[in-house]
Amino acid sequence: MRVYLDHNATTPVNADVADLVRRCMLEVFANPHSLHGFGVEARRMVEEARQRVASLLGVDEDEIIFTGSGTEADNLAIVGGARLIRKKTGRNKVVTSAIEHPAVLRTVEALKEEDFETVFVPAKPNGVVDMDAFCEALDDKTALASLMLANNETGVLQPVREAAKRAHKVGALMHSDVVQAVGKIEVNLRDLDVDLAALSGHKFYAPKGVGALFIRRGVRIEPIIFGGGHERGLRPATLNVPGIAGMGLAAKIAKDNLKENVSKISEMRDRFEQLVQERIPEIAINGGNAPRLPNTSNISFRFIEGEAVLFDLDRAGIAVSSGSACSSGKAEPSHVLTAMGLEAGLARASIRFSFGAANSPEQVEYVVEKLVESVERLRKMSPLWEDAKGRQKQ
Amino acid sequence: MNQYGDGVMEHFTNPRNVGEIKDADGVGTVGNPVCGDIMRVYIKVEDERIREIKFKTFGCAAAIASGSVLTEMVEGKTVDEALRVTREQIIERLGGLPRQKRHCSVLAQDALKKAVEDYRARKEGLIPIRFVFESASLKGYLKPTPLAQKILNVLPVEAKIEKWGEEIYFSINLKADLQNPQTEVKKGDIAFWPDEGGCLCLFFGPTPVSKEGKILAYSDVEVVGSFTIEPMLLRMLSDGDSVRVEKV
Repeated sequence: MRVYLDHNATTPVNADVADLVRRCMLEVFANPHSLHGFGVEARRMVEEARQRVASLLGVDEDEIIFTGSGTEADNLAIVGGARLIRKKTGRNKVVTSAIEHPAVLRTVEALKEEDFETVFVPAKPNGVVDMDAFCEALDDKTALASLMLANNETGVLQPVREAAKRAHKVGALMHSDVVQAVGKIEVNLRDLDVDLAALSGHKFYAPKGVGALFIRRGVRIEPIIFGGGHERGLRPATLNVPGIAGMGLAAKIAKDNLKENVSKISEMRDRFEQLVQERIPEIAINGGNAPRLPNTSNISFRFIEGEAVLFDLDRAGIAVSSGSACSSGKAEPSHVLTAMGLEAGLARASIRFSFGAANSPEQVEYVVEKLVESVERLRKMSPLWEDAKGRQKQ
Repeated sequence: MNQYGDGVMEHFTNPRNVGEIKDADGVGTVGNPVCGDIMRVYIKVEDERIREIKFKTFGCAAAIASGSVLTEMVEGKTVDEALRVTREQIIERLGGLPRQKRHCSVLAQDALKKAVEDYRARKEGLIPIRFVFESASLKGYLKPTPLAQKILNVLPVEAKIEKWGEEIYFSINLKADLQNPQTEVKKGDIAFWPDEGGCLCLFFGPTPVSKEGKILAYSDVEVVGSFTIEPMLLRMLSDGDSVRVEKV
């Protein structure tokens, strides 16, 4: 059996989306900025997609621009937002959390090089960013704040609306990386009251290489790459029409099926966690006590290393990801789990299972069987398990 | 299909010599400070040949496969031959390791080295003891001397440590005379100091009175054994930290 449980890394392209992308490549190939009929046809495709993406997010189509990825959208929002605010107001500070995706973390770190003051607020043990500390960091020097809506490793949802309220109170821009949340839960950017939000198509069954940035009407940012006037001059490059059309259709499908998918997927995830808890001792469900995405399960199997479990499951045809693999030079355990205060041994023992629309209850049973086998096998090999059993006997 | 080759995956899937040896002649445990992996090797030695070897690891697939390969390579070899196995040989036998995983092969080798040290110490009649601190523990040996025997008799003992330069000392409430008094000691020496209620001293570098490269004790001590220096751990300790000394 082959089971894909790594949907937070990427998803397969939906078959209807793939059909549309292919048709687009072959038939609607013109540059949407061209004035001829071919171009108009392509432009219509793009605008339909824009409307669909806006609709999924509860906003208007003139508030969406397309980018090449979620990472690019994060970069544009944070760098383009913070730079322009500083020029206009002299505000010099950027506040974010320590559990952000590298697309945000590294971008904010890069701003440090431009003499921005930066703050990375840690998370509480349940995986939710410490809101008191976050709000405290926001002041009248703050140009921009950024908080992800759902964490990619734990799935834990973050209080973005609360952060936005406080950010606006001090006159700062509020950005949110909503990449992991879109398509998995209802995301209404109007309700969240954010000014900027980045998303990525391939996390919800669209192809890779296309993302989008929401820019609230009236909010100004400056471009970070330069060229033609595409996407209001903020993302100058010939539009990736097939990718954008695919992302549009994927957005529509996500919206139409959201309720059904959420209940189906969360049922599988909960069943999975229940079985794991029943059958495997000494585990911790990271972020399990906080509101979470319905598809994500991050579990530490004490006394063994996540990477070894990953390859055991891989041999059984099961794809998951591990919070940390010991790799070049410094093998740091996951920055997310570390920022939650998890001890290094547990952080290194973590595995992320992320479910998707195509998974089935039978697959859940199969994965649990293989997981039990793997954990038992690896614990038998672990000197830490041996020591722990020794302590119990004493 | 993944980042590892077939050799690694084969040994990861069917690791040889996993387990423990209850009556081992030598046991060595190492933690890799780079990646946090832990490896423990047990050896049974007859006529200086490794008759049996087992290992356990908290580690990634590369660490498990390295342990498997190394134990396979050294079983039946003399202790000296076993120590000459290089990481390159381990990696070659695995059919290669990804660059970022090459450090894992060292772990098995280091654990074997420690197991051999342990075996040799026991052969010389050294008695293994352990210093357990809150965060970690240190391994040591006492020599088979009358003074060491008196120390063994008061174990296990708990105490609060004091630091004096790169020396740690603590009282074990033991009154005993020195047979071989000396003030010059070496890094890694465990000594008995009759003052302040009778103290154990662990020297891992110069004390405040040391000079000209010589490590000097405050006054006469007698060296009763040695311990494995873990510089990181020793530097992190501070006055008032608790320690428990126990037989292994």
